[in-house]
Amino acid sequence: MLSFRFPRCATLALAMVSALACDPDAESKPLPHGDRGAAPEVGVPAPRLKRLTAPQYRRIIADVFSPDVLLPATLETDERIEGLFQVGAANTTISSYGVEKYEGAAYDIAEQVLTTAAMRSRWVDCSGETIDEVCATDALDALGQRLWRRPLSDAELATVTDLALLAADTLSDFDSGLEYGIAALLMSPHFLYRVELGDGPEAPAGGYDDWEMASRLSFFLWDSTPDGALLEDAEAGRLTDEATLKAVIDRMLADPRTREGVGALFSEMLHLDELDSLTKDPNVFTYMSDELGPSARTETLSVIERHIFDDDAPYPVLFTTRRTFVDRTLAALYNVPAPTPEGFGALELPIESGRRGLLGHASFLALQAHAASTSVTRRGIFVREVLLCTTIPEPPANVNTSIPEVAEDALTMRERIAVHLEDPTCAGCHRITDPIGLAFENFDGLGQWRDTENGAWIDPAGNLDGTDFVDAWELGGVVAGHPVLTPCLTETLLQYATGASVEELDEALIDWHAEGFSDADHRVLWLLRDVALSPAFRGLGSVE
Amino acid sequence: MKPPKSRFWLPAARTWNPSRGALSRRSVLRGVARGAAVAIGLPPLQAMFDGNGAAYACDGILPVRFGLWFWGNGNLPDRWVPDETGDGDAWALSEQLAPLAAHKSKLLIPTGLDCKLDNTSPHGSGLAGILTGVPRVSFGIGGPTIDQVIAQGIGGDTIYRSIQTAASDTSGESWNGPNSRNPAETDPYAFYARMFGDTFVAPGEDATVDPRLGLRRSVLDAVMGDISALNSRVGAEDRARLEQHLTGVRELETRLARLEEDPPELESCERPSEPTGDFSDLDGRAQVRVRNQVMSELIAMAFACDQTRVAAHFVTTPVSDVLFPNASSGHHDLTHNEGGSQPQVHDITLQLMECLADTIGLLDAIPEGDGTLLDNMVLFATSEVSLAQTHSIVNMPVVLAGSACGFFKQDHHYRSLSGDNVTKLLISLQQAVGMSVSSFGDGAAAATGGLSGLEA
Amino acid sequence: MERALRALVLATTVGCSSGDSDAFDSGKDAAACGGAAATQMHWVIDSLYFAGVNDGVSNGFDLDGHTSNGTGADGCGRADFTSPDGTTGIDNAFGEVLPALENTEFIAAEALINATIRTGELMLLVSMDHVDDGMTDDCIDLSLGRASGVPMLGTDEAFLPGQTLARDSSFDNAIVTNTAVVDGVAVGSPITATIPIQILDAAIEFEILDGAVRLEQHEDGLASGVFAGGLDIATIINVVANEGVAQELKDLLSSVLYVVADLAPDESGECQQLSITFEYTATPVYLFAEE
Repeated sequence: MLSFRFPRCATLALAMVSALACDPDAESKPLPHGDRGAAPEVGVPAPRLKRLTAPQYRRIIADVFSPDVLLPATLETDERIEGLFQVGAANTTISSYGVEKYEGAAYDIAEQVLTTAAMRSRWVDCSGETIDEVCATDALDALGQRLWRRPLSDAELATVTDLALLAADTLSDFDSGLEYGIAALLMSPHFLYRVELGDGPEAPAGGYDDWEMASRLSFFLWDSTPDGALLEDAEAGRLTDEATLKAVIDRMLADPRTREGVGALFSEMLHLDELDSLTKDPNVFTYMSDELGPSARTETLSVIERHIFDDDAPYPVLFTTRRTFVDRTLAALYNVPAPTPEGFGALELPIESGRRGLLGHASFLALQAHAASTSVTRRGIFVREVLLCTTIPEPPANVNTSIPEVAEDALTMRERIAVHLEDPTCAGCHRITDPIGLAFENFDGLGQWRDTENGAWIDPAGNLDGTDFVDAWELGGVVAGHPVLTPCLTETLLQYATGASVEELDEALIDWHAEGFSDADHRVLWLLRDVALSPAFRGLGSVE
Repeated sequence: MKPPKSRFWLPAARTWNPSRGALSRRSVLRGVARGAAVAIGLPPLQAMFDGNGAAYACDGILPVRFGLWFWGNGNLPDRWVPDETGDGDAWALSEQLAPLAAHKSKLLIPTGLDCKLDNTSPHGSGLAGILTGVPRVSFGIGGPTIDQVIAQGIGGDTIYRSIQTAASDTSGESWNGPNSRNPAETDPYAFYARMFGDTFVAPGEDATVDPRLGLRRSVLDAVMGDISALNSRVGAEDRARLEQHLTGVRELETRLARLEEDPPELESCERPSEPTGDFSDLDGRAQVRVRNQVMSELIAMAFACDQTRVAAHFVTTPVSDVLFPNASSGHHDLTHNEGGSQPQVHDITLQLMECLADTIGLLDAIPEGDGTLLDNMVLFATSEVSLAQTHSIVNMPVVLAGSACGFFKQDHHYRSLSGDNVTKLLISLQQAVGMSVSSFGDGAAAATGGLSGLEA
Repeated sequence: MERALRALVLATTVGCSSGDSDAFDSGKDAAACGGAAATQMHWVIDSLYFAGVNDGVSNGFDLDGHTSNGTGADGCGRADFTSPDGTTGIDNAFGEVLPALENTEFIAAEALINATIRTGELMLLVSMDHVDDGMTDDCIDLSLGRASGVPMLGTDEAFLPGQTLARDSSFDNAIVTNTAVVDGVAVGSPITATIPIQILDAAIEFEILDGAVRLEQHEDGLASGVFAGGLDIATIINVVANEGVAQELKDLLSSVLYVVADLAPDESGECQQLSITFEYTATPVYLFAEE
């Protein structure tokens, strides 16, 4: 768990002013590199096989072959553990059905690659009119290196090549045979898992070797497989040397793929994938449409991308910024003029909208709500668990959890759930979540503003860990200035990057990164690089 | 032969799963009609016996099948438990069981069974108790669920060791153990394609002869070699995960081998019609009932064709907030926030029991031997809590349909007055399918002996 | 029906002269309008109906500035009506003809107009400009215009409030400058506008000269109102004669229209126009910023 420490900018951010005020030169300042004490010598998470998530699988196929390759709509189901698919990927198994799906996908992909000239010519350097052993070997060697993120051993290459040649002989066709070789690469555990074990002969003591580092870096920053240049860096040994590693990381951070990778990171963290199946009662929410969930995700990811990559602005400001990106669908929901007839456009939310920051987005307000109403508890838990890394204990069993129905003397949710805060069996947790959730009661279960509930005025005021706020607008500022907000992001990024559960990460190491993050004015690009250089990420330290 | 092509295509560049869109292209399921199958003298079939032979068979001919039928968020116990106990006319269905009236003669309702686990996790403890008999671990389920336990016993002879399906958007709750879920298929069309697509061979049809089947198996051999080699490099937890993966690859290889065998002659097995319905939400509400019907029909035929002997079907799952027809909010929300006698929660429970009646009806419509498929199986319908409002895990809701070849009493209400451990029911279920088990479960849920009061 | 509407021109002329109308308060000084913070407010008309007459009561305006009792030359012997709020002299001759048209193709125009509204082909805008306070402001501009684009309808099929539409710049706004909004109600006259309405392949032009419009804002942000004017009878009959309109309807129109005409008496004292009143409901919208 995180220790409580005030980041440098806390008081200013608390005052709701842009945390940029902490450092007016933030934009021009280069990313500081390790000008601080050495990382604490602590244990690092044990290596774990990480299964590719479905989005990673898709991105790899798009990167290595073509975005035009058609894939089955579902692959093995991803699971969140501690809120993250990356932690789930380090712990869950491949089911029997998953094996079937991967097999089907492998042949589908191989067939498309070999029957589409543009894709085939990228990897196969012969006509295929005759059975050409050298050609098959070369193709599978090159492809194997991209898909397995390391060179294949002679024995491994011989195995897949033999399969291809056997199939080519059996089917009397070179390309038909090569399909089996490619499919074998795609079905192998060396493709389906990220095999980063730190046990290679070239690995630095206790650390990951260059190939493993290439894989770790590319999945962390790009959510995809290493490209040719990164594999060259690995081959040249540049990823285990601190100085050259820094240069490679900087190059990767400047690559547009990092925008997509960071989008994947925040999508996992903020559960934006769930917006695809947003379910709302259309009788209650007239603004509900099929487009709303995906639009809400685009809004949030656009704001984050602009904030991190174009503005290089402090993370806490994400919770107070009035800048957002909306399309007509969201603009109508927010009751603001749409900036553009087609697609998304930038917008400065008006003060009278009462809405600002990520917690003013429909991606949070609609997702963390019930199908026909708001959910004070879900919204409160989201802020606590996702943004402030606080684990909320499960409610006690055998307790009547019902709240009073709407009545003359209990028209608003605040009045109805008052019981939660009075009953000692409930109050312990609900005091942690409900004041936060109640602040958002001005936003209905879809995220649309409302002044009243059942005709009664909504009182959104509350207190978060000692700081009063009058409404959700102010709460955004309080969250931005919360001392745990930025250490929590640090912890989440370390988990995302390593797949480790919280208890596998050393507190002292999280604190060390969080302090650096604070000194770097909470710029996420800085933190991404710091995590990529972390002993936990590189496996430099005794395994716990 | 290549593996069946997926019918749902997505460009690789697309990151998000548009399963709703994929579903919406299809329209209503074609007729349920199956035509009365003509019962001919049944040849005893090799495929129907495993190493232990007749122990698993009804009348020495038909295998006994097991179905788990699960719904989330429990019942209203006061309106669930029948007033009287006993057989036949001695007891009547309760208000919440009334939708099952047409099938009363093949029902066994055990009531008064309690989960003995510490109720520390709302919806979690009860799920662990009713499906695994094992306490939860930090991330959730601590042991294999009953469908997998039974699949270990009787699943080895069929193309699919077990199958998992759902009638709402959920991964289901079938687990091999901690962190090892068997994800449920939610899409009726994809389920059809898997069970009865290109690779399915109906009785009377010739087995597939295709050199590509052998090539696919060679590839799987190489994959197994890779997995085994990797196994020696990883820690204990990863080894367990790789073992599970290896099991899956082995099962697939076995499946491919079976495609080269002639299909068994099964009197009611025929290729079902392809679901062509639009199962996407209607008016913002999940079409749970129609999806349950379509999935149930395919499950029934998968049993009839001996594609599998174990199915786990999740109509909904714990904490499901599905918006049912006529409901003003999601199911789970209502169980906590609806006041009074919870009329909407009651109505949803009735809707779920109507779904159960649909499933039972489809299973009972398939003739097998002197009776029906339902007679040769047991369908275990249950939920993770009784009264969801308080997350109660005493007096768990259970419906058993089908006698499992005469093992279970029929048309009977069994009332445990002493709050028997529900794990005993899990033992009875294993015994019903022919597994010799005398004790089961772990920790507070551990039990010895089945519930003899349920046995015919 | 489409045939009946094709190129049917409803020329609506309101106000016999701009000087003698006492129905509208529109005499504010232009210089007093609009502060620094002044904004625009727009509503898109989401339903439009012919106002009927019930027991001598009709929504609408006193278009000709006279209250006829049905005996004098004023209004060509047609009696005026009283509005629901008690205003006398309301001109709505068409409202009286409505029952006679109930079973003809003509009345189907109403359903067609509303269908066209929902597809976005006919989106009339009522706008207030130079607004400091949307509920009470002694100097605003009130205008009638058109929007284009695809309207966003909610799950209840109603126009979603707060959506953004594009102004149809091919259409000249009819603007009343320097009027007022009092307790959320704004009335504008004279409105001078041509509103071409394209319904499928039929074009109807409402030529509103010196017309009148009222906008009433409601607590929930929605609005309703009326606009009214006169139809030029000769034009209608001319259009009908040239189109493949059912003979039955032609006969009906020829026989009825001049009988009920109540506006614009010619030198012989015969009224050449008939007053018509539309009731509407409207949804608040934004407009895309114009380049």
